[in-house]
Formats: sequence, structure tokens, C-alpha cells
Amino acid sequence: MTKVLDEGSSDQAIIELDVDERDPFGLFDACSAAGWTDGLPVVPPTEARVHAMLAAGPWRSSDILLREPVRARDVSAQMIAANAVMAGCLPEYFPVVGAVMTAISDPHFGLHPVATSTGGAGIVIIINGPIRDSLGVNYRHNLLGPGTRPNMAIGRTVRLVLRNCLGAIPGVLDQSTQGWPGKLSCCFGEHEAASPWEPLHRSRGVTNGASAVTVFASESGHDVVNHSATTPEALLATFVDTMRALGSFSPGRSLLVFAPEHATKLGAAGWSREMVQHYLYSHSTRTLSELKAGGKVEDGNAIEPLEWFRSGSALRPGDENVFIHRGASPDDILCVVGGGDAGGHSTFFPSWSRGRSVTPITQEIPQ
Amino acid sequence: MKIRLVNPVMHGPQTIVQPARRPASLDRIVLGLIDNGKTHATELLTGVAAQIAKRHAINTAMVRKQIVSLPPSDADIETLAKQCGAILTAVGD
Repeated sequence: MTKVLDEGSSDQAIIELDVDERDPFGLFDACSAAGWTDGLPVVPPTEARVHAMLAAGPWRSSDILLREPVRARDVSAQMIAANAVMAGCLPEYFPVVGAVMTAISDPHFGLHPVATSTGGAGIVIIINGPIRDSLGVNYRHNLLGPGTRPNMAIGRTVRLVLRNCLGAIPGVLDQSTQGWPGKLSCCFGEHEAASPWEPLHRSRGVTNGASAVTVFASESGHDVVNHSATTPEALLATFVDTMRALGSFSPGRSLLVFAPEHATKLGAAGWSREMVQHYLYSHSTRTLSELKAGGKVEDGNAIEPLEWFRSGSALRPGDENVFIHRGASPDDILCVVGGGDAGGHSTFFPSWSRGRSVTPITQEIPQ
Repeated sequence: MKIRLVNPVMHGPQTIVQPARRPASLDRIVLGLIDNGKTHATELLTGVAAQIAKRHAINTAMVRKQIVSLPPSDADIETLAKQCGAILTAVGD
């Protein structure tokens, strides 16, 4: 069904599929049979659609937007644009897609293990700044779920690029033990107006008036439900209890998406983002004896420089008095606001990996 | 009927990496071992090195990565480059 026009190379720019372009089911079947999809229908990346996508960004078709050094993959803007078309992006989304590609190319992001490890990371994308509204990115009701085109299509583009350009196919290079639904797409805007704090991108050095994406390689989110707390301490106790759970406990980073209702309570009490970060870091602890009893400290494991993580699994006198924090400092906790106005439902995203493999990256979106 | 589409798939490396020159023999070289830091990496590497040592007169030098998903530090790479005639690395989870 698939024919490579120029048989002299395995990476030809244009290929032909033997299918009637007026037959949508036939097109989906053909794209699926070619191995291009995540299981859902895709928009066929015709030359006209890809050219329109490229025209909406500042890059030439041959510019490299994504670099993955472990497997020596340099992915061109044209290749990214083709996958953006397939994911359902409108051309005006492309500057955001390009910024995401730049962000996940940062060596500190560690894209190769994110794409391949048993940990099954999803890439959470947070959009800040004026472009959020100009594209219609959802930051309110059901922002973590389906229902809004830019949220779904931008995140889905990343997944298709990982599959089609980096070979992250489940069971092949994507060795996720289970994965999670956010691997299909987990992209949302910050509800900046509902936040008592500076918008995330401004707190991370992006200038006023600019738009940005922040990427965070993550496990699946954990709901933090609290409808009744009347003090910041009582409210944050629920967050702490979620963050210190053994299942996701690690020296890694955290992303908290505060519901507007929760953020309003904290803001009304005068709690700054820094106060919240400090409180959560200070209280999200386990004793070393708990971690050892729970099998969270492995003999011979040296994947992190933190002393407790490599101290060996044998219980020692005094371990019950050694308190280990989630993360390495309050700055390891990213705090953003998003969701519908009503409801005490926030979300805790633990960073992927049992160590500190992942650093969140913020990238300005070109105008 | 056929439809022309922009190929969304990349099959091979786009950057050509020149492999290091291979030693003619392992005898009398220092074999560098890069431990990725996971639980059984040391065991796996030292076991393989022990098997090689039965056949060749080698010495070994080991470095352990600080973060499993990132390359060794520049200092460790420099040390290995100066000392070693060959390098082994392994994932031992």
C-alpha cells in the first residue's frame, strides 16, 4: 500500500498511499497500516496542509526543531509539521508546537528515557501568556481532560513525533510498563486570572507580554480532593498526604495544579507561592525506616547523589528519626492554577522516574 | 487513486557518528566500565569484566553516572579517554 517514490533512500520527503483521498475511512486505514498513528484517526499530511503549517511558524522546512542526541535524531520542521497536521493542529498552533520541541530537546529534559523507559512518562505541557487565549487553549473546566482542540492536538503532536521520528512505539522502543492516558495528550493553559501568584512562565524568567510553554515529564496525576478546609495548613495537609505517598515517593520534582477554589483560599490567607512550596516541601516527608520497610531504598542503587537513596536497604538504628523529603528543595515544586471555578479538586503530578532524571523546561513561544 | 503525502516518519539516524578506532587486542589495556547507577549495573559490568579478564590481561577503571538518564560527567569522560583502551557500559536495572 505504501510506496516510496525514490527507492534510493529510506527517508523520502514525499510518499504515495494507494487510497482515494475522498475516502476518510480508507485514508485512516492506510495511515494506520503505515504505522503512523496512535490508534486514533489522523489527518493525512498532504503537501498543502504541511506547507500551511510551516508558513505559520518562523522556521524553514529544513530547520531542526528537535534534537535527540542519544539516538542521533535531528528532526526537521517539515517532519514536525507533518505530524502536527496528523494530530489535528491548526496552522496557528505551530509556534507552540515548535517551542515544545525546543523545550524537550534541552539535554536536561532527558528526552530519550522519557520516551523509552519502563516508567511510562507523559509530557505535560503548560501554556502561559497571551497565546493561550488567541488559540483558545482550555484552562478552565476539564482542562486535563478532552474537549478542546488545541489542548488535544498540541499534546498529541508530541506523542506522534515521539512515535514516528524517535521510534517510541509501544513494545519496541517505548518500553513503558503501563503508561497512562496523558501520554496521548496532556496540554493545558494556566488560569492566570484565578491565581494569587505570578504566572508560571513569569516566575521562571519569561518577560511580561511573552507567551511560553513549560514541559514536565510526569507520572499520571493524583487527585487532591478537599472541600472543607478553612485554613491553609488544613488544606495543604491533603496535598502533603498525597505527595508523601510511598507509591510515587522519590527525590524528584512535583507539579501541582491548584483548583481555583484551593488557590483562592491560599491567596486570601496571604500565602505566597514560596510559602506554599516551603510548607509542602517541609511536610512531604517519610522516615528512612518507612522508605526501607517499603522497599524504596535498593541495595547498590546509585542513580542519584542523594545520600539516603544510596544508603542501602538494611534498617539501622536511628532510621526512624531520619526524615526524607520529596524532592531536594522547595523549588522542586511547581505550582500552577487551573480548572473550573467550583470544586475542591486539584492535581498532583509526580515527576517521572524514581530519581531526579527530569528537569522541567520553560521555553518562550516565538511571535 | 493515490494520494501524495509528506512523510511523517524518520527511519534512521540523521547525524553520522564516527565510531572510535577499535583496539587490535584487549591485552594490556585499561577497560573502562561506565556504571549507569541502577541496582545491578555494577554486578553486570564487573561480571563481564571478570569473564574478559580470564582471556585477556586487562585492568579496569569504573565510573558511575550520577543521573541514570544523562551521560557521564565531562570529568569522567576525560578521565576515561586518557586511561582506557576500550569502554563497556551496561544497563542493570
